[in-house]
Amino acid sequence: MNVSELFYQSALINALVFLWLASALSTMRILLRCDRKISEALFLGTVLGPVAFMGSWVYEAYVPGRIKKHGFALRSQLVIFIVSLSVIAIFHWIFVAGIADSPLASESLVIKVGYFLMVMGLLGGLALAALTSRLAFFESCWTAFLFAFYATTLRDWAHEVFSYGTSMAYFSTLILAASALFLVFLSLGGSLGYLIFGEGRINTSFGYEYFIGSRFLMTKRSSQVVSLITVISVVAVMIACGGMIVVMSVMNGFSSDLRSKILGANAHLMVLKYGKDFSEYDDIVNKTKNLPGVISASPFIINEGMVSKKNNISGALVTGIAEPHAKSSQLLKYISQESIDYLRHPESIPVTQDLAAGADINQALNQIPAVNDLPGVIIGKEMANDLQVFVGDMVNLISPVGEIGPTGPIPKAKPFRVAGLFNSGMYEYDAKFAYILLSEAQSFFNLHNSVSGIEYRLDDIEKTRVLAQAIDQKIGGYPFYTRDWMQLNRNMFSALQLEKIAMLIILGTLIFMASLLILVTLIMVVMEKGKEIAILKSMGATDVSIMKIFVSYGLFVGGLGAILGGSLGFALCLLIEKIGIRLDPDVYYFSSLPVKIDSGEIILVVTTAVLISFLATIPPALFAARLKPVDGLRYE
Amino acid sequence: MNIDIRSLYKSYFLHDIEVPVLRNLSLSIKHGDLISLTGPSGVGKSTFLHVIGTLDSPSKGSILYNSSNLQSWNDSKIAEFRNKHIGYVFQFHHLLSEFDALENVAMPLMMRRRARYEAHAKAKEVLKFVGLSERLLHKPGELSGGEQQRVALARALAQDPSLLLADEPTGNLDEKTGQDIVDLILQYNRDRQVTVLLVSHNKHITDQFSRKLFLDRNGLSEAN
Repeated sequence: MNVSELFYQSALINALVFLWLASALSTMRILLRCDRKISEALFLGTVLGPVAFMGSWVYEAYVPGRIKKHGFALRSQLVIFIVSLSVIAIFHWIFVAGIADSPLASESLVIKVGYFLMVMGLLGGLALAALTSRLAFFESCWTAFLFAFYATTLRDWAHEVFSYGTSMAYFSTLILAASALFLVFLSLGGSLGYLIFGEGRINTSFGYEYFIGSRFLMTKRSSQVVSLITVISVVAVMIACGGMIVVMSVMNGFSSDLRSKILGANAHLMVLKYGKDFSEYDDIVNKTKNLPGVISASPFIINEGMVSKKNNISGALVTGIAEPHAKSSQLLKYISQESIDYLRHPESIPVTQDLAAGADINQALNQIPAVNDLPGVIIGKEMANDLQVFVGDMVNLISPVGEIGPTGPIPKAKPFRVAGLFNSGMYEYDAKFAYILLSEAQSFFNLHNSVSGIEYRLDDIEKTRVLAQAIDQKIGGYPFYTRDWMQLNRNMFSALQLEKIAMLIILGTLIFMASLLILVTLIMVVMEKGKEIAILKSMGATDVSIMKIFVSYGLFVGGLGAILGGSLGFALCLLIEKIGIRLDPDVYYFSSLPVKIDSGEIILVVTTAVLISFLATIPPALFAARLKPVDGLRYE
Repeated sequence: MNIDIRSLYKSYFLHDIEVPVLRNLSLSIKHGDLISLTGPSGVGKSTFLHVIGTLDSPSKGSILYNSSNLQSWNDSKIAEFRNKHIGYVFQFHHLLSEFDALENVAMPLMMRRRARYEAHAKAKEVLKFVGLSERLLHKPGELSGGEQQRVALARALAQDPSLLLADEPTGNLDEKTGQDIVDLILQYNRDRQVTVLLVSHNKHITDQFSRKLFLDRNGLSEAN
């Protein structure tokens, strides 16, 4: 069945289910607001949903006042239907008509949909609050529920778009996370909307509410405990924010250092060919090397083999490189110019004493050519340690696939001389790679005139995908294909990404806990200030004003804590960068803790902290606003 | 303000049991009326005041303020009405202890989003009227009982109310101090033609009021 058919069919059935649920929930709400028992409301709502709802409509038409005042029955019902329709429209747009056309867009699509949900949630919440003059939490839950429901209805298709290949469980988690995100931003928008539109007109003034709030919460006279807790809350938010920024910066440092190391030793982009006879490489290099953004294009051969020296043997990735492209090649970063010269002219490699002593015997036995005629090989520092060789020493390169002898394939060995050592800082690279000239590799691996592929270095690695497409077009696709650095090192980078997300969740929990502190403080204050709230209401303070008094406290604590924490984190990062924390380079690839400060992330952390603190103030503030003035005034 | 109360009922629910407080009360109040209300404890005088002052809503019946019914209004609109038209003085001064006298009196004006200097100017004027222009910056804890109650009165008057509701404002004061408060209320009524409804047990005070109401279990009655 095609997607839009599936969509319309399920939409019809869903519409009926939603109608029922919407009426049921609305009826329950109205009944509860009219002081009816929960069991009664539950029964009437679920069993007689639409009927009961129609009944309440009629009741309202003939007995104006009671319901209108408490339940806003008609309007909330209207809002729910508007919201349902918009969710259907949004989903139609995302999944059927719209933005998810190309399956390749899947990776960034998750992020796109995330941003989209945030903005829609915020705007939707604002609209709901403006329409109902309430917090509209009920309608927000409903909207988020609809969202999850539709996403699930379309799961087969959406699953393919979002996460082709990965498990259904992952996709379900995605939907759940998306709905939660949507709900959070709906509530955020709803709360903001209520504070702005709650009095039936636009009112963004916070003046006297902040004045009262700060006195209630900061004056020592009012309560020593409260002002102490206020300080503790600020510190808690500060520590959470600061810690988050430091950890994120260090993770950024790690990942960007690692990236530059990987990219330093590897190609940014490769052109490969299906089959084994990649002999038209010159043609392709000429076609593509002048494309804008390409720094260099050079053919290479990579094959597994071994390097041995006496009894020491090390596995190696033997890499044949074309005449190193002088300055353009990143390889030069780790390999000295001298080594490359030696690679080109192996006869000038200095002869070690060791070798000189044995040379005569070898020559006499006529087993190998003269030392000076041997080709050069550049190996990593770690491999040189393993083999105990130095520049100028002789090593044997062994290829597992040699000629066929009477007993099957015979491994092929050939002596080389070490032309130089390199140290990239990545243990795996330094222990595995052995570079020889392309022509040597072709003859050693019996490849005649073919190569493994062509590697490209680009001036902007962020544009790799775009360039890959351009190169693909230029060379005409099959039997050739491209691979970029992200695809080649996917495991490493996705592990890093996952680690970062895990850290974010842990530290986000910290901020959440700090916000609980705000919540608890406010609950305490609201309990303590019941009488004052009643007095303010008797003077004509609106519910929204009372809410603002307590919300301003949360914003104050959250804002101050976040700004202090942001500065603290930033300062700590600078300190780490300046002083440096030593690491064992053999274990960590790095000699000191890398730090990379991302100002966008700092802003994100600070904003998130303020938003979470804001949300934490809503329940107690709402509780305060709903207090009946009479209850506060009655008892002395 | 003209207020028309028609067969007003008010009851509470305590553990799902209905407790009736006010039964079938009707009353007509004219603009500028000076009314005292007496009655035994527990008959619902305070509740009656709260309902008239829109702090509580009637269970049945209606109240018309200048012939408009507030029942269909939303809470914000009612709060605004309360802020503009109704001044309260309670038996206990109910001042906000974190704020000084001036700030307390200026509070209802700040709620109208007036500029602070404007609100303070008005508050000073009213505090002068109640004779406290020397004590502007004192917190409630630093004032005597009589002074506190005068600040509370000033706060209600700062609103320029059309209806002043006073719930035993002299209950905690000695006779002389209490009389000072009542004198202020009477003077304000004469100056501004404000409707006043005052609850008191003190016959000496109620005698000074032109309309005398009596509330008991049988309902509301008016002495001539």
